[in-house]
Amino acid sequence: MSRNGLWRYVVALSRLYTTVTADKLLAGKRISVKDNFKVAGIKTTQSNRAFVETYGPEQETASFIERLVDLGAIIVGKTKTCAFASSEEATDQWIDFHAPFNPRADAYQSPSGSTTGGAAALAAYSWLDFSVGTDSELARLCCFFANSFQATGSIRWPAAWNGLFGMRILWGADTLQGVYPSCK
Amino acid sequence: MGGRYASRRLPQLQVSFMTMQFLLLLLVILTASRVMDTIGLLSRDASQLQGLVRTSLPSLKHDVPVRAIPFRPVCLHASRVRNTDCSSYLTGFCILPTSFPIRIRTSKLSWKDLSSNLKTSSV
Repeated sequence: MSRNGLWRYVVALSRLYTTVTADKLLAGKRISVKDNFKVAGIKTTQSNRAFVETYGPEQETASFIERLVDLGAIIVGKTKTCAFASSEEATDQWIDFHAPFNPRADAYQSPSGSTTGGAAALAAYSWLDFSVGTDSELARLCCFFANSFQATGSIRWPAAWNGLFGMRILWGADTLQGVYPSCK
Repeated sequence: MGGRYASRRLPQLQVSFMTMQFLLLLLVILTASRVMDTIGLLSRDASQLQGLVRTSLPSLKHDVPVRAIPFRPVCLHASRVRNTDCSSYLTGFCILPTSFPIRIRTSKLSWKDLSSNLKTSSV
């Protein structure tokens, strides 16, 4: 890890030393984490340089990430996101950090966002098992428009554009403690 | 000529202040929205993803069938396609438990169907 608390290297531990047991069902699974999840001791960038310079390393780990680690998963690193998990389009709208490229086809396609790095990494690296990210939906308050739920699709679009399966759980089905919200 | 037209009076809109307030309030309610975040997971394999979901999110109902929304081929940004046959582009699926409060016309598929779909559709 570098002095400023950011990841410097990606270390993929061997699976030879992990054994799946009843309480370690994810033993040896390599997982990347979107950079709006807090991981204790590591800076969260949210792909914004001002945010990196303003805040220090995190003091807590997001509860969902803690659960994965408790189940034996190995966090290999944090992946880039659109700034503050917004809907900016790669690559031209990425200002503070370079956008990952979509490894599929001619590699000139947009990787979409905002779980950009997680999707691109999963499509590119066969040694990576899963990527954890966040998804957002724009919900209208009135039930009259309930069928017009729109979404920024931070998991769904990267899944589609990088040829992956994406699962967005229902809003409120699990805690988001330790995750920077895209909107408050 | 101009004076003649100018002298015509437009019909006055008979809307009271209270009615205007009610209409404005209705407009706000209908259009108000908020962004709600939730956790999302990505995988190259549907069955692997299912395993991760079952393992890490035990509070979810896992016995419900899932909806798969096949996305259209990624030809949305045609200007960025360089010498690429868009038909070779295929895509992932968005998998949603059917308990989701959204109404999208999709077919109900099993996880097994999804896995076989991935095998036949992936590039």
